[in-house]
Amino acid sequence: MRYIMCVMMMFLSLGYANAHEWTPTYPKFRASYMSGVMMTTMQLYNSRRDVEHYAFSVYDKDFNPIQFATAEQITSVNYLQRKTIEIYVRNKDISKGMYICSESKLIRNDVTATIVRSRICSKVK
Amino acid sequence: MFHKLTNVTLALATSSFIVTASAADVPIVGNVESKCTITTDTPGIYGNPTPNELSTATVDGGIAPIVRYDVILAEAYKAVISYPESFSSSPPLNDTLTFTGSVSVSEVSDAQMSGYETAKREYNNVTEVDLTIAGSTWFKIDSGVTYGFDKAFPGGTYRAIVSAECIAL
Repeated sequence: MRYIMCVMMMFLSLGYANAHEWTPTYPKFRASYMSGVMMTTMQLYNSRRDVEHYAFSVYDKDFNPIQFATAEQITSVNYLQRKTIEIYVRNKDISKGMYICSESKLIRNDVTATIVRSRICSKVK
Repeated sequence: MFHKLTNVTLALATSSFIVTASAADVPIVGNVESKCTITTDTPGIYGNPTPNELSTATVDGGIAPIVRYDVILAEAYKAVISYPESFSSSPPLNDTLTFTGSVSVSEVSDAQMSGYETAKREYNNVTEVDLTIAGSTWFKIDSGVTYGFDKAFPGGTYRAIVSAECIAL
C-alpha cells in the first residue's frame, strides 16, 4: 500500500506544476580541488511557474549562518528546469547537523496570485 | 546442395538479426530517494468584508492558500509554516495593522496523519509539524488583517507572503 502511494506521489509530483524540490535530503561532503575546502552537490528542481530565482544558504545546527561559496548565491532556474548546485564549505565549518537550504525568491512587484515563499533545507548527518 | 545450404544459413542469419534488432532495450532509469516537495495548490486571495478588514476566510469572500507537502520517506522532515505579519506590497498606510492567522491540516493522504493537527507546535506566527508518515499533507493558512481603529483600508492591491519550509530532521 505504502509502495503504491509512493509511486502515485511520484506521478503526482511530476504532474503538478507549482513545486519546489531540493535533494538529496542528507548530502555528503567530499574533497574539492582546494585544500581545506570540502564540496557537495545539490539538485534543485523548479516546477513553480511563479518563481524564477532561488537563493542558497548554509547554517549550523542552531541555524546560525555559515560562510560558504557557490557559483551564484541567487540563481535563475526556469520553469521545469533542474539545476546542479555545488556548495563549498571550509573543513573547519563542517559539522554534524548543519543545514543546506534553497529558498524561492519572489519579485516584490511581480507577485500575482501565489504568495508562498518556499524553503527546503537538507541536513548533513 | 551447397547453394541450398548457403541460402538456409543466410535466411537464418537474417532472421536472427531481425530478432536481435526487435529486442533492443530502451532503458528508463529512475531513483526513489528521500525528498520533500512543497507545492502551492491554491493561491490565497484576501476578501474585504468590512472597510477595515481583509481576510482569507471563505465567509469573508477570500480564499485561504493551501500548500501541499510531499515526503517520500517517513520521519525525515518537518514542515514549518508561517502566516504573514506584514504586507509585502500595499498602498501607503499611516496607521497600525493587526495581523492574525492560523495554520491547519486540511487534508491528508494517509489516515495515520490525522494526528498531525493535534501534534502541531505553535509559537508566534509559526506552526511546526513533524512529517512522521510518508505521503502528502495539505496545510491551509488563514490570514486576517485589520487597519487602525475601524479605519478603512485605502484602495489598491494588498499582498502578503506565507512562508512554507521543509527542514530535514
